[in-house]
Amino acid sequence: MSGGIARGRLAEERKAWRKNHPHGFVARPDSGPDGSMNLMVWQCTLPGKTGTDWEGGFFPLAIHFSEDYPSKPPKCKFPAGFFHPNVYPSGTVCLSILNEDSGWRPAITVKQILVGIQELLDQPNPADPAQTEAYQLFIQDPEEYKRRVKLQAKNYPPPV
Amino acid sequence: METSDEEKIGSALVPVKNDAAEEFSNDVTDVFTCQICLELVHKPVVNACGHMFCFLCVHLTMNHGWEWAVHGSESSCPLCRRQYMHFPRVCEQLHFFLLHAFPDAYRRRCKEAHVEEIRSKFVSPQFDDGLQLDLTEAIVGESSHSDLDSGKQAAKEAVETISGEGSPLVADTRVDPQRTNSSSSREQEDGYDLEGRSANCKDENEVSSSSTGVATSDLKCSVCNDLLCRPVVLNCGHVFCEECITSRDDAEESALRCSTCSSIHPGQSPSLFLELHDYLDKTFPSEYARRQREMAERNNKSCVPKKSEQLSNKPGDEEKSSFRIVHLGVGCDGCGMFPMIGRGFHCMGCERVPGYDLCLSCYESQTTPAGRFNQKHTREHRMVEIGTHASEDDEYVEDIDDLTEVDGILPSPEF
Repeated sequence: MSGGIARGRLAEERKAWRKNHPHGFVARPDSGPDGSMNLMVWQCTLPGKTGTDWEGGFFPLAIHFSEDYPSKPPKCKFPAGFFHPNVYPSGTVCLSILNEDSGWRPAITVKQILVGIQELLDQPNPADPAQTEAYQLFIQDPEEYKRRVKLQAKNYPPPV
Repeated sequence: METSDEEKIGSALVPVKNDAAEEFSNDVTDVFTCQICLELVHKPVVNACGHMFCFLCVHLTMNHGWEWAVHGSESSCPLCRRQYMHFPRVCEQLHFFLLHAFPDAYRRRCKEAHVEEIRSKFVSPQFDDGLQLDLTEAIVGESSHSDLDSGKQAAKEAVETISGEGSPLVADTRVDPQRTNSSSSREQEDGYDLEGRSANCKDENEVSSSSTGVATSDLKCSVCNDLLCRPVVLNCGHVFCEECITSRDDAEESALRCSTCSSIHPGQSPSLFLELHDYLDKTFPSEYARRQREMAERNNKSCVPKKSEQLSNKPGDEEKSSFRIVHLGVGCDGCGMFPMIGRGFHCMGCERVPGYDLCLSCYESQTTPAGRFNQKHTREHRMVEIGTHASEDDEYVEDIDDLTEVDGILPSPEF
């Protein structure tokens, strides 16, 4: 439907990001093998927040924008099997601001999305679980949950 | 009075140091950024919640009704999610203000945006702003440019639509004198004619900001004829002081009526247009402080209950009980209701896309409102009730018998 806005908006998002972005974060449009840039998919890295069990991890996140963006929210995906109560087994992030029916607004920027997901890492929302494993450990065995989070952070070392 | 005003002019002329001027003007264009496309706003449209976006951005992000069963028919503000149903008209005063305040940046933006609009087939109303000729050039330039990346389907389509639309646009420029006449006569009704504007410029109360060349006369309320104070924008696109629309005496009328074009403001009463309010405060500090004091005094004196408190969605509520037909992707060009609900009337004389349509109450009002887009609708065009004429138009008439039952169960209509 809304052809036209999506790419223009993403170009502006890219400009704004290059001008200023939060420390430790990476966000860039996907580039194909031939070096061409695909604005509709962004490869991002978000750092675990300092002072939390997630610290030290640099988590890869892909953001998929549709042609209806920014009317519709983009889809944010960690690698499949990512350990977090609000991440589906496929890796898709479940977050209110990314849900068209609850919190999404076209004015939300890529920066806000990434910072929002970084917040979500250490503050999962038990009211809205998306995978059983992390959810059950979070509720029933906080010690084991903590260990798993730290282990996962180690598995995603800083990019060289 | 006059002397004290002149003193204020003096103080208002020095707020910005020259070396900081460039930084300041950057800040200022940031103020007028559309939060949807993140660019300088083009043909600004201000929602009842007081948030401003580009004309095309609002149209494309509104709920067109295709996903009726899931989302209902209301759109929500891209910034605050406040629900609304009426596509506001372009705020013409702000358009001319932007043209005056940021001539280069805004002209450039107009050219780019016009190409986008043609591509989407939803062209914004054209004003008598001297930009038309430039726009045609912009399109010719753009289409040859797009030719270069012919590898991509999208680019190819774009070229096709541009070349498809190219000839009518050239024709447009040829009939320009006519259109200029009609549009300027409409502007006269709106109280915006060029003479009026230039007369305003000679006003002795004028205060201008040294950095941008913006004068207070660009941002006047047509009710009190003074600098806007706590501006609000009605659905018809006209800007007033908050106080000027809420304190009027005709309280017996329940609906808020624009004192410039006398169209009824549908839906919720407008909220403060915060971006413009902040801009005024920053650009004309002393003048704006004076206006705020004046308004506060006026407010204390008059004990008339505020109109905004009495206002409700009454017209909308009444219609809700008789909601029967949802015209998917079709909006009323009179009040801006989108998607249009209830009986609708379609113009057989205007082009099919975007089309000219009126809802029942706008049709019965016997006025001929200008289109929301750049339609050239005239009173002579034949209007036909949707659903009662040629079957070719049946496809965009969706008959839903009882929405209270259907809501949430019906799969999205297929098109």
